[in-house]
Amino acid sequence: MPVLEVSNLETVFATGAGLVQAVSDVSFTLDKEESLGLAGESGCGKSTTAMSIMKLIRPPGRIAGGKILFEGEDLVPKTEAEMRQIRGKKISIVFQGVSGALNPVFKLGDQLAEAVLNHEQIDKDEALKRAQGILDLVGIDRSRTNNYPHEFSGGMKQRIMIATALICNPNVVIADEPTTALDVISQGQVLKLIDDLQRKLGLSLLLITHDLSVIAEVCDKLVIMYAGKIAEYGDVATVLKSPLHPYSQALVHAFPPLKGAKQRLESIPGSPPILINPPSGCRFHPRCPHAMDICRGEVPRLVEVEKGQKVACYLHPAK
Amino acid sequence: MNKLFNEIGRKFKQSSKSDKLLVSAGLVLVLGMILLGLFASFVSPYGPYEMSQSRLSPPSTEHLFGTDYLGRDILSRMAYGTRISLLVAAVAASVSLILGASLGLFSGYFGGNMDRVIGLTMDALYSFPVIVLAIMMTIMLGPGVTSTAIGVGIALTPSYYRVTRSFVLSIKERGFIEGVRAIGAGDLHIMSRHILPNALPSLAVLASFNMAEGIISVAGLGFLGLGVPQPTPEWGADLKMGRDVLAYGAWWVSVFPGLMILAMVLGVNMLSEGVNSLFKLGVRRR
Repeated sequence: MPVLEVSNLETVFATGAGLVQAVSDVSFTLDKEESLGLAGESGCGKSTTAMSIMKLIRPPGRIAGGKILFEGEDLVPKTEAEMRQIRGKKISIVFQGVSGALNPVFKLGDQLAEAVLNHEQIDKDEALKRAQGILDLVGIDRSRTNNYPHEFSGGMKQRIMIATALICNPNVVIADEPTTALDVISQGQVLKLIDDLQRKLGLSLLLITHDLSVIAEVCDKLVIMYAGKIAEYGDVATVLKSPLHPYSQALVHAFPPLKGAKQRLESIPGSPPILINPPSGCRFHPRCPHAMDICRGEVPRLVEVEKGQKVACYLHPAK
Repeated sequence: MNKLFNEIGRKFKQSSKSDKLLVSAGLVLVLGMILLGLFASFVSPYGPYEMSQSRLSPPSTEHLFGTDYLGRDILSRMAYGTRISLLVAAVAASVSLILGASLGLFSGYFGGNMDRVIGLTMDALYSFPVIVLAIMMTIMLGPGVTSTAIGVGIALTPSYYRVTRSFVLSIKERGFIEGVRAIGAGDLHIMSRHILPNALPSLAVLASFNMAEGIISVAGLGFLGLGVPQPTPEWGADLKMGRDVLAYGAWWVSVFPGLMILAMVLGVNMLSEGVNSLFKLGVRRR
């Protein structure tokens, strides 16, 4: 039974220049204790998908269609008050960028305790104890609950963000580029922490990143998005070993191999489309080396090509 | 609290000589005024309403500041007047702080049409000098200590509104607001717990600036005969009383209220300017 099931999600932003279709027809499922990676270049709709699941999309943006089934219940028609019961308690999110993520005027302990007090009827002391417990879990000294945010390093702040997300034992954790703002060493530590916690606590994790190596390390399944749509979706090992969609292939080949002879890295010609007026048919066709006539006219559907591998491309018809 | 005092002490040591002078002089004057108000009954040789036979007598050992045309001791009236001045100014500052800050919070946080309506109203109020608004308000509310305080308070509201609103606009885009929303916090909670505390230092300095404005307005209303009604000892009204007898050469009746107003406003201004530059808050006065 999937804990989170997104089907045909459409999220749009109304701008002066027209309607931006940031996410269109996105469907995937996240099983219990599974970790799913969401990859793609900047502006492809990864974060918008995450914010849509939290229902934190703010005007001029809105969810225009589709369903977000969380434990069988659709979140899309839920009111703001109902969503407040879910945010942080059932589904929580770790944001990208840590510098502004903590309120500078509150002590760490108070901020962590707040996350608990929003949802549970316990007293402040008990909440502070919970905060100390969760700090142990992410490897920060529990005595530091009395420190203010500016007294922590970037890597520590990111750990604190993870602690905030985990403190109410949520059913689903979304990590939106949790390592983007960190240096390489802190990135490694934070990723290892996320990986450990995912295994230890059995988290259902949705990890968003543009770094395929992160997904290779942490995730079971992988969604590759391009221009607001899913290009390819399947098991991490399968997709990364033999990507079928031309965009996934290009993405995988843009990473240097660790073993073997050095090769020139391939780049994808052109730039991602502006989503106010996306290309007709397959949105990747203007940059695709294999584009055919049908790609220009019709939108390819996401179909299962191999076992555990779905692709939206006319090069790969359904089996 | 201890930490706060240490912080203030450290800032004070690091500040420039002129700032130090500003803060200490302001502190001495303001504290002196507060003490004078608190201990008015000990300082005053006579009651504020007590009339003696010697009318309009110049300063002497018996009446240090002289007496007015009803034979009331001016020193005693000045001391009791401190209470009224401080009380009304403090109430006015609180009224405008609470009103301005909450309007600014809502307006900046929710935006949209409500922001436009409140903003326009506040801008319209802001375009009048405080004293003119205060006169309008006290005429509407009638004379009395409370109505003077509320009237001046409403007249001072737009400056708090502006400072709070601009703070809200910058803070609500910061990452941690999205963060607390994501852990299930509601709008009211975000406004009161997360946005307001960030704006408090600036609001506190603004409040001290406005204290001076409030003191002048209260005295001004008293001088115009619109503020706290007679015979309550109030500096502005006493100054006016002194002006009427200047022609008889009784300078002491008006000079002492004038000096009191001057000392009070000077003290509050020096203190607030000093604190503002000590903490580098950069709050601009009206």
